[in-house]
Amino acid sequence: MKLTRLVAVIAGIQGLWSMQAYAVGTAAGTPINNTASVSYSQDGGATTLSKNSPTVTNLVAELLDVNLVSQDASAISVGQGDTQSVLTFLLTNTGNGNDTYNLAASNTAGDNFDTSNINIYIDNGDGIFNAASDTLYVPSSTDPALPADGDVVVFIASDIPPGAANDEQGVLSLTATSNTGSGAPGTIFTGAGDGGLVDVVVGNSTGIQIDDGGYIISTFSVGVDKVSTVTNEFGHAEPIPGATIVYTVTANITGSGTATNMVLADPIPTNTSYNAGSLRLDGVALTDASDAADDGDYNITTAGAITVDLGDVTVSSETKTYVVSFSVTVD
Amino acid sequence: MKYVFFAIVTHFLFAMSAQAAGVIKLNLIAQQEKVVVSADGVKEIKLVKADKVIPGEIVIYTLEVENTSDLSADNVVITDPVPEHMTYMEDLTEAEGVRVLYSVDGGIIYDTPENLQVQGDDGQMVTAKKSDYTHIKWNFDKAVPAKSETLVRFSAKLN
Repeated sequence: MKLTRLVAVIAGIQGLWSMQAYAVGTAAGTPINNTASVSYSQDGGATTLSKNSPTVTNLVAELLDVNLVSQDASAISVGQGDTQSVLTFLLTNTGNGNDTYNLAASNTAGDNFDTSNINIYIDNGDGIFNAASDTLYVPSSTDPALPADGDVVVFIASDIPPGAANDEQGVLSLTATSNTGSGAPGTIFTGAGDGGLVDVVVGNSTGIQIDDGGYIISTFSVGVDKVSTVTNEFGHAEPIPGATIVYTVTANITGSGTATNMVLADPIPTNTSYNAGSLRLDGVALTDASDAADDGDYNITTAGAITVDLGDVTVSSETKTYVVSFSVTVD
Repeated sequence: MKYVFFAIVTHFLFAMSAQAAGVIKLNLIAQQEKVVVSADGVKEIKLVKADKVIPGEIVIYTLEVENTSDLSADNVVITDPVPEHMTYMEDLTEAEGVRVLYSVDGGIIYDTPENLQVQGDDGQMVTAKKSDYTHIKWNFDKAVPAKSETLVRFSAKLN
């Protein structure tokens, strides 16, 4: 019976340990008081006597925990030779006391390129990088101070080497170390807690957290070229009323990367009328209606214009070319 | 008026005499389970005095009733509020004939868990959870004999 209960309690403790990384609890230094009482009788129930236990007080120790997470969903697209390109991190004090943190950023091994001129900035609270208004991090001088459950956005800004090739990646590592101390979970720093009143117990984060952020070189570019060909009933290239003008729009996509929801739209020139059914994508006819049959329409998605929805366009090293054509009649 | 005064005096004197006959002591101990590794490498779980309690950890409170008197103690009831910043976890009492009741209203009404209700988020009354308990009460069915001791015990988690 006793063993079963003890096992149950132990399982409970272990379960809670794993939760502690994200749960800030009672503040360090808080006194936990307990006073019990007992009542009884010794004369057959005629008189009830009562007595209090001594009060037991436990001071809540400081749980030291930190969390650091890159806020970039994926590698940040940068160009060759870009300066002070920004990576974003969130630093959170997941312990129950105040703490300050040492920060360090460095290039990692195993990636394609290293960046230079690496600077760390502490955000001013708006979450947006601004070298002028955010605080340049200087170790031990501008160490971010966070209360329990407090967080702050931290930026790394660094220069991309001009020689980096398209699609190459550079990864930087940011390390946050609690100035109170670090070590294996359960490590105790006697009297190191807030105000020197309580002990500090290192939590599962070990007091040090490291996370990576990365850059990817993207030379993605879109070039659009448009040519027109005029034909008329007299067999020459004068755009006289009644003449037909065929416009050919060529989009050349080069470099590396993905453009999402790429749309090519071209307004019908004034004093001309769109020739119904003349819209082509890469030589294939598109309907003028906005329908499921194809991705083109006239005067629906964009008023007075042809629109071709190219969707997500991904290129790596090849050049992708889209040719859209349509014709108009001169009024 | 005179009668009332007399009654109070009597009560007082009686209380004094009961105390004089012996003492019922209530001790309260706060402990935690720690894994202790002995010199020969055997891991053992020991209850040690609570110290360095951090959020999420469990404290085991032991309430010892010590009857040092020459008379048995009847109708023994131990009451303990769940300490502030803590959540009641589990009753660990091993003594037989002890009924445990809980309160969710600061110690006014006590009942068994299935009968305790609190207002849920939607305003409807729902069965209380352990985290709603504010007080614990242990009712002893049997007398605590003279010159004996017994204990009740529960665990609570630091929020």
